[in-house]
Amino acid sequence: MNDDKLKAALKQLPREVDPSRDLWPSIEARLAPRPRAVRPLWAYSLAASVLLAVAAGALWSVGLHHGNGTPQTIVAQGTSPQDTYFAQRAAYAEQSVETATDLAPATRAVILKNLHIIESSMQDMQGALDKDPNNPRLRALLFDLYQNEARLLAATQQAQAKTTARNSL
Amino acid sequence: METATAMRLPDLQPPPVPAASDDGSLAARARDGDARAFEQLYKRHVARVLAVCLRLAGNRTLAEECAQDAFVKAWQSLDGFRGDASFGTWVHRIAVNTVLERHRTQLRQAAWITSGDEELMESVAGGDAEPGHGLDLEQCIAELPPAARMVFVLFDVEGHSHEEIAGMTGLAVGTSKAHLHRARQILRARLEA
Amino acid sequence: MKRLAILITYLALSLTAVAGTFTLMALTSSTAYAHNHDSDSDDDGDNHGSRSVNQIQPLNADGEVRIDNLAGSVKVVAWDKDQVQVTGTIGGMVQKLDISGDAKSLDIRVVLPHNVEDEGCDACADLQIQVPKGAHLEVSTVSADVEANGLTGQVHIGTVSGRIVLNSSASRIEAKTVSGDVQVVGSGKGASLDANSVSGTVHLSDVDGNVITENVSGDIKVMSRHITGLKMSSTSGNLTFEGTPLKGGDYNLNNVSGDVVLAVGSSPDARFDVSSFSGDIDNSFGPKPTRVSKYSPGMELHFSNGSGGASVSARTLSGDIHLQN
Repeated sequence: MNDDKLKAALKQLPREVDPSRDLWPSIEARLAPRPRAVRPLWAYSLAASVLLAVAAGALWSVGLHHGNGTPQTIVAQGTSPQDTYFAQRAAYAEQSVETATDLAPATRAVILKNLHIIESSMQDMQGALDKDPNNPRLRALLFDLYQNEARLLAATQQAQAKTTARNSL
Repeated sequence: METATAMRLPDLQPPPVPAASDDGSLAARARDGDARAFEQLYKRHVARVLAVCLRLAGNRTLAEECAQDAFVKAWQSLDGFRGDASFGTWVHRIAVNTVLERHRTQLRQAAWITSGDEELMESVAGGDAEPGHGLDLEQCIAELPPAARMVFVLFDVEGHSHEEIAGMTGLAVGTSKAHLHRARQILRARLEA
Repeated sequence: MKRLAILITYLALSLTAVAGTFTLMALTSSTAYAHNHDSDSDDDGDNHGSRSVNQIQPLNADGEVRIDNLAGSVKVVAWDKDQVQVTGTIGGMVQKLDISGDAKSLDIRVVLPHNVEDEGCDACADLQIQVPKGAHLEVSTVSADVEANGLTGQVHIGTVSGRIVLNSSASRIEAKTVSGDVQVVGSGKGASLDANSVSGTVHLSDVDGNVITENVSGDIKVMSRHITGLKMSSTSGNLTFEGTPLKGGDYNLNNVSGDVVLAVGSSPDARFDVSSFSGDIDNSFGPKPTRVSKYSPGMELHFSNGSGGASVSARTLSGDIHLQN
């Protein structure tokens, strides 16, 4: 079998390839001016939440690694790791929406409601996968859900940035 | 020990340690309109981006175009860059999507290869492979048929799963596996010489 | 002890990074771009009363136009001149309408002062903008509705709650909202179309080419006989495709709890791969669905009609799937 030759050749593939010429001038010519974000409140609260998140993360990871080094979450007895995973994922996603403080209340409500729809669909999907773990169609649907969630969070950040940006020129 | 889940859950990672070097702060400045900061990011990441574009596209000219498109798109989408992935990973993902987008037609045509497909069976029998010339792997990858090349690069070079490849390319998981199989067969035959 | 050291390192590094970020933000000056015209140079932030605007700028036939207006409305109409004309009214709280750039690329921005609270629509601008029909158009709003007619180049429109209505023969179309509705009628031949919402409804009709459209709780309806590739995805909204699957085309409809309706004619030339984990499937032409197993509620249906030239797949978790004439 030629498996070894192919694997060896793959290992040798360089991670980086230099361009044949400097591409920056062509890129720069296509960069449209970006609106300048208002710095004060939004930036400070974002930086503050980064700080808190890092501290929380550090505490979390300190508590995480027991004995054999396998990450386990500190959970109440009787909660399955999947429930915890989804609970944490939901909390993480909702926290991202919370930091988008400039959204109109109606928009925030729509985003949170749809986030809940996605989160509860993920749980339903997980339930289905428990019964039929190797079903590729279910996996494809779950992957779509992850993409939908990511899209929703990205749209939230964009909406936040748009609403915040009051340009004073 | 809890039973492992049957599917691979994406990681819910603790936030990364902020690096002393400042891709993150360069991205923040770029988001505010600082093109010089974005140029720094370009310099740091263009070689990696070009490598993946080149292997997916199989053609240097197209790869350099896609690399440029990826950086332009990254600039336009900076508002959506939340800094939870590294900038390098993020622009890399944009680059992959850019090349795949350019190959939508080929991917669509390649979507329904099944094990009964004559074309696939032919290549498995080695009908496709030319006598090897001891060419390097890069060259061989570039000469693969488009969909097989893209699946091979995404799986064996970039490390994506077939489910992820299915999501990115619109191919079914089984089709992705068939293309990977085909690509490996052709490459092994060519490297053999 | 080691873990405590790790914790302290985390905090120290993060404080440094945060402090560094503050400093960089404070010191950063962004690249300056030329500003050509202001419609009002008074920037004391007071209410100026509603004003009308009328500006003309040259723009190449294939130039780029970017329009930023948070609230109000934006109506873009294509014309044959190598110019952009902006008319309309801007509200009392609007600082000014800023137009900058050059004949290759114009930036039209409605500028509001810091911290404006929009009571009523003093912070709105209602703009009508005529652009060269081959222009590359980008519009970004929050609540402003956007309408664009007659374009042949590329169109990218993003709103948060504003409605998008697009009538065009554009070659590349992107229309995204969070809660607004999206309506796209027509496209150029072989176009590439991306239309997304979160809770709004999405209606795409008479489009030609490759379509990707996603929603979370809003419905999506796609009606066209000229789509060569289709990816529709929703979580709880309903998906409807009324049209003709074309030979060599790939049509994928994925939903979780919402329903899927495929109305693809009485004798479509396609292979069908339809499955639902716990929803029902009904087929008004062709074979009936079968249970996946007698132990699970799942239904599936795989069959080929005609010469099976197109491939159509519909998958849901709990939503129902209806195949109709």
